[in-house]
Amino acid sequence: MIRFLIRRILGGAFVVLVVTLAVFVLFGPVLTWKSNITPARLYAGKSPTAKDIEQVKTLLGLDQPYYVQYAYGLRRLVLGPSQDERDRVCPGSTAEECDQLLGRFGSSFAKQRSVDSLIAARFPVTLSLAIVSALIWLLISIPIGVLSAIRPRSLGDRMATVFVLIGQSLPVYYIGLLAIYFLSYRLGLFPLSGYESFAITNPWPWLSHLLLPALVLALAFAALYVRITRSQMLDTLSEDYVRTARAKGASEPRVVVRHALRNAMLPIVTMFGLDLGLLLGGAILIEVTFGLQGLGALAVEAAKRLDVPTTAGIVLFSAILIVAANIVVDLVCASLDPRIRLE
Amino acid sequence: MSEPILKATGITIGFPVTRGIILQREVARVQAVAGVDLTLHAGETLAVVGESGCGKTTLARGLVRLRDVDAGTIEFMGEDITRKRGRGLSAFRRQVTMIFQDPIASLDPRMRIGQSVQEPLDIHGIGTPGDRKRRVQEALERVGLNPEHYNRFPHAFSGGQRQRIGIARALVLEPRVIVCDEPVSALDVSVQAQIVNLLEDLQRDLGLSYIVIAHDLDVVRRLADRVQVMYLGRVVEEGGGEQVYTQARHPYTGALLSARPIADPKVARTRQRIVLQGDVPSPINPPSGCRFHPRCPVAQASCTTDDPRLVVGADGHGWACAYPLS
Amino acid sequence: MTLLTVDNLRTTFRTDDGPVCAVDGVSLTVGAGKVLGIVGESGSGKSALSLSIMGLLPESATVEGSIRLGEQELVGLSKHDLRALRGSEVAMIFQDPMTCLNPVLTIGWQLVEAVRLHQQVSRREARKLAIDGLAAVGIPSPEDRLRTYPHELSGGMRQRVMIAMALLNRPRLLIADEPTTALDVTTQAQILELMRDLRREVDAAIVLITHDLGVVAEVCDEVAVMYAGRIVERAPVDELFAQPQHPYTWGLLASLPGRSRTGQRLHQIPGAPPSLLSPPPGCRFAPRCALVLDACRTDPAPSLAPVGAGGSQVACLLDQSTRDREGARYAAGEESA
Repeated sequence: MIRFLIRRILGGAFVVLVVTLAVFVLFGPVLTWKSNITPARLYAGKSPTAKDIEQVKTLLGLDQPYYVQYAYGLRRLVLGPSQDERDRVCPGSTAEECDQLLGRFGSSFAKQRSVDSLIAARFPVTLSLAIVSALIWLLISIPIGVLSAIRPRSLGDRMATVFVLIGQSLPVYYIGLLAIYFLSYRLGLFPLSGYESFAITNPWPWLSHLLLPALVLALAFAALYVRITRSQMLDTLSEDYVRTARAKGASEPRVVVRHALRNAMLPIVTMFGLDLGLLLGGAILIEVTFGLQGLGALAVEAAKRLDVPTTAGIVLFSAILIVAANIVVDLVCASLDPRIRLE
Repeated sequence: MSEPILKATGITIGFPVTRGIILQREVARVQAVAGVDLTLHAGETLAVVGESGCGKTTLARGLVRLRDVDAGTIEFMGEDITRKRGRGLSAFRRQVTMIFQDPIASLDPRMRIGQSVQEPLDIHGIGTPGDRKRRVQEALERVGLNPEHYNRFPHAFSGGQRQRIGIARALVLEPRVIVCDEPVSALDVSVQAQIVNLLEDLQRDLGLSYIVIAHDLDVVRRLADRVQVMYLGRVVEEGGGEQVYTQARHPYTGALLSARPIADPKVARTRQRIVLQGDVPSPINPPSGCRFHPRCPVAQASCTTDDPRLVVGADGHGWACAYPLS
Repeated sequence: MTLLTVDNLRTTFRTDDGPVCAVDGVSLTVGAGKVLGIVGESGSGKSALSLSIMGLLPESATVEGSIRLGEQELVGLSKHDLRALRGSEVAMIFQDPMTCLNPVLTIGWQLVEAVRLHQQVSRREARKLAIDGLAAVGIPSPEDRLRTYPHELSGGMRQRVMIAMALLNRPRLLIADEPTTALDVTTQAQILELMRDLRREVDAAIVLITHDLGVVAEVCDEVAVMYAGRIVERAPVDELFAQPQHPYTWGLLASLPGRSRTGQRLHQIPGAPPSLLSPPPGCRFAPRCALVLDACRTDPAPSLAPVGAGGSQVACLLDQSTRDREGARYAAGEESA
């Protein structure tokens, strides 16, 4: 088990390393060479002089050869900004002030802030949205999927199929706009847009702002999960060991829950882990539709303003989340299926 | 005796055992097949018999070069083809084809059976499209199927018919040797007889040579001129078909014969049966000495240390046992 | 004492292509402590028969006729009552031990569940019963085995676990559906020996479903030969092999590879079993029968009728002298192709 975990973590670290290289090449040399966008010019503000640009280059270390820049970048990602870099970028300021300006993911061009602090400010929104909507879609889809697998071709199963079709074919922003118009604007059930921080004393403002976007997002995923749960469950229910359980005299709910569900969950867990990892990198359409200031919205802003470090930082951050999600998925699968532990 | 058509010497095939957290290095090889010799003469049938885990399927795959062999040589019509690649391998594969156990799994369900049978011709680029179609229809007819079934899909056929399709696919290249991996074990008894008879007819009409892999001595009794019994990667007994059945010398062969259910209740009630205890040991860590000794009903102390070699007498009957049955 | 009585059982599946009658008017009885072999090839309805007795058919199937266990009628019993019988009064062993145990649950969990579904005992007591059960089927160090998962055991061991699980609640009727087909020859011999031993100890009626006449000869007292949903011959095991009555039985006997002699061609039954969607009128074996009479194709299918003094029954229109002559020939292995 420990071996398995170590191997997966080392493998994940390697994947992240490859991603950093890809991100560096894409947002560094490729961008500069292809589009004549020099990061230094962008950082230097409006209509900079040649001297300004040179200064910025030195400041950011862009005058160094690429491999040195990459090595510095990697070092910063792992260990945090070096003292030397702190002295260069924010001379004379306190450590806290400097942290606001310089972080592991670098500094934003558009705002005088570190990418880390930007992500840290936005991530709670995205995280809340992902968790609430994941809870909703799992709670909707797994029971529906299981029930329609137990009674295939029944009325309920057919209704579930219609639900799947609607959920999969309507884009989230469309459902989102309809929901805002009817539920928030006409009926006033939910706030129109925005986000409130989570407070343990009164979580309602937080939840009321999140509920509608999470619900809309969950609807699209639930449709997919109903389909997968149904087909997995149908397959599992026709397995020989399920027949054995029935031959033992186990009741139908017991057969479904104790014998079939765990086997059917394996592929669903795998998919869920990946989807959640993906969502934690930001749900752009939902965030924009509902005016949520999450990572997705940040990515859109950054891209529009050619804020290279922020965009790169978000890409890298999402990649790390997805790799982490993968490892968690593997662990959960191993705990569900003893045959995986052997590996 | 004629020149052998296929001759294998000292065939050893292993699977890697790997260790290590990041870089998987090979620490050992599990010998699934550990030094097997085999000679097939033209027009003859050689049966390789053994239970699951004895290495017979791995051996078959090695012989048709679906797997690389670690050691040993395979000669086809006097030519060493052990390491052949590319064109030479392709020429060999036209001469030596294979029939698989599961006729359902070995046919692509989305491919019309004509296409399935024709595929080997397409791969080897034999003949014009017209020729190919004609040869496919001939092959279908030869195995007792209606050539007009060319355009049907596999699901429209019964198990026995699908095995006929598998045989047609092996035949269409007009090979010299067909390696049959458990050709009838997935079929009903009455259909087994049809397939065994078909294989015999084809051998007589086309002068084919067969290597038949089977777990059941009874099934190959009809077909085999010679039989090799395998246990844990080794040949433990070989001989002419009837020799092995009527005068088995290796205790494992004796146990295999004794284990067959006998379709005669009076005999079944009275006969002395050797029932082996336990399971076949893992080839990762084979027993010392004779590999069969932990389960052998007549093992002696020396069997735990001495590994008997297969010694074949002048009559072609050989066994690897220090204390053979009499 | 008769334990299981099946009377004129008809099991019909609804399919997209129309109703398929997999079991068509089957009647049989099994006594306590006896083994009835049901022999047939794929599509003969032998598995549908066993699932009908277990009440394990899918919802698309309907069962008519009567299945009595002792005095109790099983057809038409509520789901709840049937479930109470399954695993306690009636237990089943399946063909492929590789797929019949739940891969994600330990052997111990699965055995303890089987006990506690039917007996009001503590977990600890159930565990003890499970250990005893494993020991009874010859599994070494049964206590350690409880913690293992199915994939850690060999095929033979898994089948032993299945048998132990089926016997945990001391069933009165045990149905074994091809219990050795998926196993190696030497493992098959071990399992058959185990079944012979258990038969003496448990005193349950056993229905053994198989395609292999060899297995039948080894363990059965009585045999029913099924073809295309019907029983074509029923006989005590010695009678069946000494004086087989139905042409299909002859064919099965003759196609056994072990019985053929060297230099002799294997006997084959031409053709394939009929589709049950549109079975042939009259005798269903008629299209493949070498001795077929005109009446076989047109008259309504013959029903089982007693022959001789040995207790055999056969459903065949051939006259008795032909059947005796041919049957004796096949029994002696003298048939030629």
